[in-house]
Amino acid sequence: MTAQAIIEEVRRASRTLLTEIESKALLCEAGIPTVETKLARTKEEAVLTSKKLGFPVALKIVSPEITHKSDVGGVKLGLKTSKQVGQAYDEVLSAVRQSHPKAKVDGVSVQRMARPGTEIIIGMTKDAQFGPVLMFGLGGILVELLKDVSFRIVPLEREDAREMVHGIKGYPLLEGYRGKESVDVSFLEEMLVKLSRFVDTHPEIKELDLNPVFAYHDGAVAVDARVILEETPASAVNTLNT
Amino acid sequence: MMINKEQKGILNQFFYPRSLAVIGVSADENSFGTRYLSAILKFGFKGKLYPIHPRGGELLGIKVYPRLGDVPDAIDLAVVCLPGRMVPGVLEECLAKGIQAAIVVSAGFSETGEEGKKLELELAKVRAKGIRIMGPNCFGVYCPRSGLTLLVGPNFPREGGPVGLVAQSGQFAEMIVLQARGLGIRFSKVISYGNAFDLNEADYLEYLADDPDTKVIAVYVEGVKQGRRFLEVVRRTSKLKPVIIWKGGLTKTGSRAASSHTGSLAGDEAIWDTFFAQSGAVRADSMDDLIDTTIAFAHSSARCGRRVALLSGSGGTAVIGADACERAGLELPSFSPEVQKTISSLLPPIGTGVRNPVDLATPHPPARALTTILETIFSREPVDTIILGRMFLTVKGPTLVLGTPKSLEQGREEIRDIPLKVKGAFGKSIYVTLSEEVSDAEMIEFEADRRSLRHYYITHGIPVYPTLERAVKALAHVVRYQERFHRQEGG
Repeated sequence: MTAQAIIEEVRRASRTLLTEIESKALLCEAGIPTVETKLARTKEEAVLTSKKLGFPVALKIVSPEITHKSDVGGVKLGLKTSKQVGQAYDEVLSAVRQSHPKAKVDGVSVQRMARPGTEIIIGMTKDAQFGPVLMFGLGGILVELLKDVSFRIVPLEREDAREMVHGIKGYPLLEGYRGKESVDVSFLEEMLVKLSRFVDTHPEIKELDLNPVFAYHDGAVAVDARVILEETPASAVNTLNT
Repeated sequence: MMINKEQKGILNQFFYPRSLAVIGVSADENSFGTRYLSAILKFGFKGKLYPIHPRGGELLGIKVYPRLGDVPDAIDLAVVCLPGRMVPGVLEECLAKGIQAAIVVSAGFSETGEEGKKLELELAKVRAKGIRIMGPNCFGVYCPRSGLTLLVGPNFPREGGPVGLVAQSGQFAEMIVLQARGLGIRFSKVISYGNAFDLNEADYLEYLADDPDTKVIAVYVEGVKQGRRFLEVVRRTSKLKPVIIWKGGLTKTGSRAASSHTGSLAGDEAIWDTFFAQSGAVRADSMDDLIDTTIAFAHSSARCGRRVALLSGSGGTAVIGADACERAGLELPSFSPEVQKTISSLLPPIGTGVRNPVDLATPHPPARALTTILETIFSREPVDTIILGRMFLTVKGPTLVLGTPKSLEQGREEIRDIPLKVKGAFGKSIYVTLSEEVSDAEMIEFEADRRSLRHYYITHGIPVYPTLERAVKALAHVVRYQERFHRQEGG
């Protein structure tokens, strides 16, 4: 499916929040690597998909109405067997039914656990004056606590992406601080440039979080992704800001 | 060339009109129209003037035409000073007369709320028919070369200079010109553009980027209309000439209602930080900083690097100056033992520091010693700029302030010209500080002396600041700008 087709489908359903699966499909179109993620509508499908993708896997609730999946017990990580997957499926669904009894639930997403890397956050938001702005920072608790992030206004040139990555205080961590593996910084820069190009050509996108991205010494991958569309196609045109 | 010909041609009409109509003059000399007419008359506008008022007659010795249509000539620029509600109708008349450019001085538009916003919608309809608008709610253009001045600027300097100023606020445009006047800053063009209903900051900046009379651009903005285009224009312009921006209204760190993590972290302050990092604009944080930095750029011919030598007549000032350098990222390299020895031999044996900063231990050093120290530093140390702090470079200063015996004035005429001579001989920058600490009304003679000395230095290309901190801050802006853009040129 093309990016445009994904966006149109979400619009037809009168939604602005894309599910994780839709978000990742969209990012694939942008040329951004994501962890392959499949929808499972039933427990049996979840187990079957897990076997196909290979253990260990993660299950996450898929509902267009739930934004913070882990807050409602909708995420289970590191599942190593079919039995664990089945059990996790039941737990996730019952937790969500309890917290959001009326929410429409499509099922769960199944993805193979990504190999651990340095956690990064990459995102996009729109500024009333400058239009789309990208953010880069160290993910996990570092972004929560220290807000160690940098921004650049779209469109980004490669030099902007470089300055953005080098501009965070925690940059030495990316270079391999105290024996930690260094990460592929130029790959991250390339991701930022691709994302800039993508959001620039898709003004319908209002906000976007890739959180976390796992960065390795050879590339990086978006483990979770969230895309939010503008309320109306018209406001997308207005904020294009050219 | 970054501006298209058509746009440039239209903007030229705002700055170099051959004929100008003032719409909204009246017998009341306090009315905006009459004040504007009298301001440009007094200032010396070089083109033809056509005041418009239904009753006709004569005003300030000039024939008044009842209607635009009665004017026999073509009109390049209309300046509209009527109440806001009358503006759309008047602009229609301008169109009928074939006028393509209008400065709308009148207030009462979007800045006043819903009614004003509706009025701007009407304005938009007229604009769509082809007329270009500066304002509304602005003071217009000051352009010494064509004899145009702001409504409030009949006494602005007649001579032009290298600085282009773009200011959203008319009041600030006025204040900056007046303050800068005594500091030797002269302007190529000043634009008070108000609400930026049609032409906005990016348009004016593009024009100034392309204007050969403008070497340095100073900007005051509160908000921008086309942020992305503004960024692109500033980025391109900064490669050609420095763009110094003072952004008003930064403290509102309203993190907007956002459903993403990214959105909640992207407050106004963060985005403007980004704008400055990305565009290469020089960031000023106050009117003083904007003016200080403009002075530094206007006088920085040679390339200046980070390495500074600091000379002061007092130890305390030397310490404060060194702190300021450190904070601003400037370096104070320690002098070699030989240079230290030379300097030591010229100064009293006690209480001096000679490593850099140099503490002269007296605010009135002997002329010969000062000359030799400055020459030694420039010829034997890798120093780009010398800053002089806390020193009486005047003849009268010491006597007036410290009660120094008159006999000490002997031979002090020489001292004033030392910075000029050394700068001339080495082609490197010297910054001077002349402190304002004597502010009593009775000491006006000292103040007059200080001002004329400041004027003397500035007209000879030596920037003058009231404090070391301000001198250092301004110099650091220039250094960072040059490092960024000379690196890009590969030089």
